[in-house]
Amino acid sequence: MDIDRVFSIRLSIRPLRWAINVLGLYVLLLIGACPAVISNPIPPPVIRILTPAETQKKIQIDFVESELTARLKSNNGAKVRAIAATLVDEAHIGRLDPLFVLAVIEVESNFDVEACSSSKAKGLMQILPSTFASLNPTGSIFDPVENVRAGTRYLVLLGDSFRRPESILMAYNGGPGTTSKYLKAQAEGEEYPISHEMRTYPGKVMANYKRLLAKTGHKPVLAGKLFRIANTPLMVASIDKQP
Amino acid sequence: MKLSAIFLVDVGSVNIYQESQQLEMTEGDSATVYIQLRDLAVQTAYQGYKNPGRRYVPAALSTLTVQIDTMNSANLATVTKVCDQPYAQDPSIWRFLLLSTDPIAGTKRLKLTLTEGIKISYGVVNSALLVTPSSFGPAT
Repeated sequence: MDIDRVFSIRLSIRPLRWAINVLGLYVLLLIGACPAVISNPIPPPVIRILTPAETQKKIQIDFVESELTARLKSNNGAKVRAIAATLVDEAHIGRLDPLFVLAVIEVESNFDVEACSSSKAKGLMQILPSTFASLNPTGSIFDPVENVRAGTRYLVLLGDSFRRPESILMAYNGGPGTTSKYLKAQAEGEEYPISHEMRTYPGKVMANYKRLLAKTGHKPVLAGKLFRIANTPLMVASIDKQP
Repeated sequence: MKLSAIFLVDVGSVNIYQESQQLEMTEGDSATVYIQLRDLAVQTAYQGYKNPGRRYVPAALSTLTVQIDTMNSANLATVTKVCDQPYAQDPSIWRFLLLSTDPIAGTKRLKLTLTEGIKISYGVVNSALLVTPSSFGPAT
């Protein structure tokens, strides 16, 4: 082999060696980094601080859940958390105090999921099937989540027509038609006959509402800070904690 | 648990129906019969509830068979029906189909057999079906 040929082979091998060395170094680095990749396959979760409104909502759901857990009857395995979350969600959408809805449930069914009245009202919020169908066409009326959803929506809907919470409650119990006639007659200084139950119902609910407010350390909001439902001032809404 | 049932009539949906303790029909009629399971062990009359007992929701994958017979021993004809659940949203509601050829006449009772896994419950609804005969037979 002549010297020129040997020299030319060495010349061609040298860049190859250099490339192999670089590749080896890269592989070593990759192997070194592997344990870190394997031990942390998912990036750490980003911690998000709840907004004051979200925090308030969570506190409300917790409170409603604890009340329901303590008092719910014949639950049939329904998730109490789901009922509480639905109640608070629907109340917030309608700008209604969730505690007010809870107070209605207490008077209507005494927290009995299976309650059936002689007037065919059913479930936690004692909704009539026809009313239920108009508000929430899917699901069973006995499903506490759907019942609470429909009942809260109905309360909110009545808030569009009636100004005072007592009137809303009267309409919830005796129907909006009868309540309108009663209020009209009352405004004109006349009497319109309504049932004893309809007359005493608002007082019972408001008493429960005040008790629940006291339990949570809340006070009813004064006239200037009322929640509003479709531009109608509504007294019963108080989720701002008072000092 | 004390198993019983009430009839649902004019069934429009899972929530729209009328409740009845008895069902009246004429012999030879075919009908889809809806029933709702009740637990009579829970007394609700004192709470002003309309129907006795409480709606009973059986476990998932339960089966229900209904035997229609009479308390009159002279008439031993028994019809057995396997029920299905028409509404997934309310598993307490079941239905079965009565055929025009089913030999049912007079006052009938329902004997319920509910199977929930290994648990089997039995219930009786007395004087449940009032079936008017299609004829009174030849005049004597």
